Amino acid sequence: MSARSPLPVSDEQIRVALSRRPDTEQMADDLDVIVATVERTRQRSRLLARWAAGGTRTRSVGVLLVVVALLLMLGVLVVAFVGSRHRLPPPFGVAKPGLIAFDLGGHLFVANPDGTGRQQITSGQVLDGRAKWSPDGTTIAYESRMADRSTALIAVDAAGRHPIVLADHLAIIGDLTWSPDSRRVAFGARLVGTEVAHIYIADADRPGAIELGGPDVNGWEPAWSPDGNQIVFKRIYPSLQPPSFADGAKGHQGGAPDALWLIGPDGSNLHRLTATTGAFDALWNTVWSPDGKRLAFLAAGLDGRFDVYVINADGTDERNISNSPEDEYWPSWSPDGTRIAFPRMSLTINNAGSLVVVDPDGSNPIVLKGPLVNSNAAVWSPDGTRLLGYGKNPDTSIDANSGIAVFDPSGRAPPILIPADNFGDASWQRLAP
Amino acid sequence: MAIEALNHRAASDSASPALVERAQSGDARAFELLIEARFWRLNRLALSITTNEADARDALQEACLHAWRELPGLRDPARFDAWLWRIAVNSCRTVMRGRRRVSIHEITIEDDPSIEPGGSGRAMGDSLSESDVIQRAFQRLHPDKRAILILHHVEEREVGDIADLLGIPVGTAKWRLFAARRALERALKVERR
Repeated sequence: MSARSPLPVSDEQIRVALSRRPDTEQMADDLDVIVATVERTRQRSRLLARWAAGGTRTRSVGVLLVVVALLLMLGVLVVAFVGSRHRLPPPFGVAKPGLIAFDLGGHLFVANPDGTGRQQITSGQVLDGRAKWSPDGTTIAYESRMADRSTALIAVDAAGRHPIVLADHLAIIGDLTWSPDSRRVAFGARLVGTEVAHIYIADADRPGAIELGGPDVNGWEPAWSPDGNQIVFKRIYPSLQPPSFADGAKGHQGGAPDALWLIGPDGSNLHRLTATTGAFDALWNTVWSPDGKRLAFLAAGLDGRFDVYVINADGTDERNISNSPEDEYWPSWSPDGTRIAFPRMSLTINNAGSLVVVDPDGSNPIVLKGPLVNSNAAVWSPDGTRLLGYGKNPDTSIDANSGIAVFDPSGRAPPILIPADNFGDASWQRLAP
Repeated sequence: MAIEALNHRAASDSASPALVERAQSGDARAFELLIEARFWRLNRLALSITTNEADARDALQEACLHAWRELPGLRDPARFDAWLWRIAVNSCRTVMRGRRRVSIHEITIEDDPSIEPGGSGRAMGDSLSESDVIQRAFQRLHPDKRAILILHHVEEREVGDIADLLGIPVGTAKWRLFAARRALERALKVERR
């Protein structure tokens, strides 16, 4: 080890070696230059100089004060900046109600919940519909029926500007679902010239969609989980025809029955969720509870009638919560996850019924009195204080919406009906509380 | 300025608080007297740290001008010398760091042993004295290490004095001095290969 140690050197050797004797003649010239420079230079004021050249403690305190001042200024700027920006709501749960988007006469509109301030946000020869606000309330995705009868999926901002065609040349498209971060959209669709539907995912800010799960995964009506990690969808087996508004819904034709399945947004972890099966309209529009622990869905009960089911996200505790002689249709969770609303159709009036609100286990049912509604899923206001149904006029045989029926979910306040003949699917904008 | 006078005043190290206060109030002549009395030692300090007359000159001019401009901020006139030496050491380190930056593409002594960074043009094959070897090793060191070695071995300042001058804790000064000494010994080992 000693052979590798640095060689010793004495302090005296260092002193002798490093001491340099200045050139005194040069030194005198240098001093003259310094003196001349000093005489031309003004001293700093005492206050500034004390801060800059004073003791360490003085400088530290000064630096500290400057840092504190800068942090305060930064805080003010941040508050001003954040305050000037449009604040966004959390992706799930209770939020402040914003505008309602809906389609009317083939174009999209937005309006206040009381029907005032109606504005048309799309126009043209195409037929636009099925608008759906992103969870952050900044973007609307909707389907557009083109002149060649194909369908496109388009995203626009809240004012209908900056349209982006996310996917086109679709024969049919089902309800879409937004990712919790509002950056992607998943939807079931069948391409023009094909026979089966698949689940697709598109970025909301650029054209193009990718197929989810591979060619063997034929699916419909996806719903993104609140944590963003899973997508539930109705799996359709190849022997079955996909649902089609144009073709007319077709049921089982043999093969495995439809069921709800889960899959990761990256196509991983594909597995079956429900034991209950369904056909026709069943198993569509499955909805996650806001906490992501349960799902509610529509399926055919043992009596052959449609009922609402609830199941844990891990596939356990699957139960029918709406056993009745009538048909119940698509459920929707309240924003706080404590109640579920669904339409219960009349046995005597064609495609008309009432909204029912129950606890997630089916208990404490309230039948909301007032305007009859059709079978569409009710829309909760983001704050959970109102429930929007699709008014159905019992005096007409036309199977069309007659207006927007706004209910108090508790049943205490009387409902109101906003006339809007033949309006289509509605979506309620979520704003930051 | 008479050379004899400069050398004579170099022996004096204590600054009159009254003279410092006059300089603080803007009396340039008082400041000149303060600098004259310390100029030889300041030069030796700067030259020892920078090992280069041009760099030492630049460092000292910058230090003196800085001291003049900031002198009104000195709270305790009795600490003028420590304050001035700190400025001088920092000025030398700044000049050396600047020199490093602009000379980053120059051939290093490790790459070409025939070139002596001191500029004497002497080749390795020549016989070198022990002082020459120490100087060459010293030139390999970082400016901060050079400064603390000069303050201790040439200025003959105690560690506490160095700590006060550099504005660092005594323990830190001890550690830095030890690290500088070890670095010099390692550089010596390289030079003696």
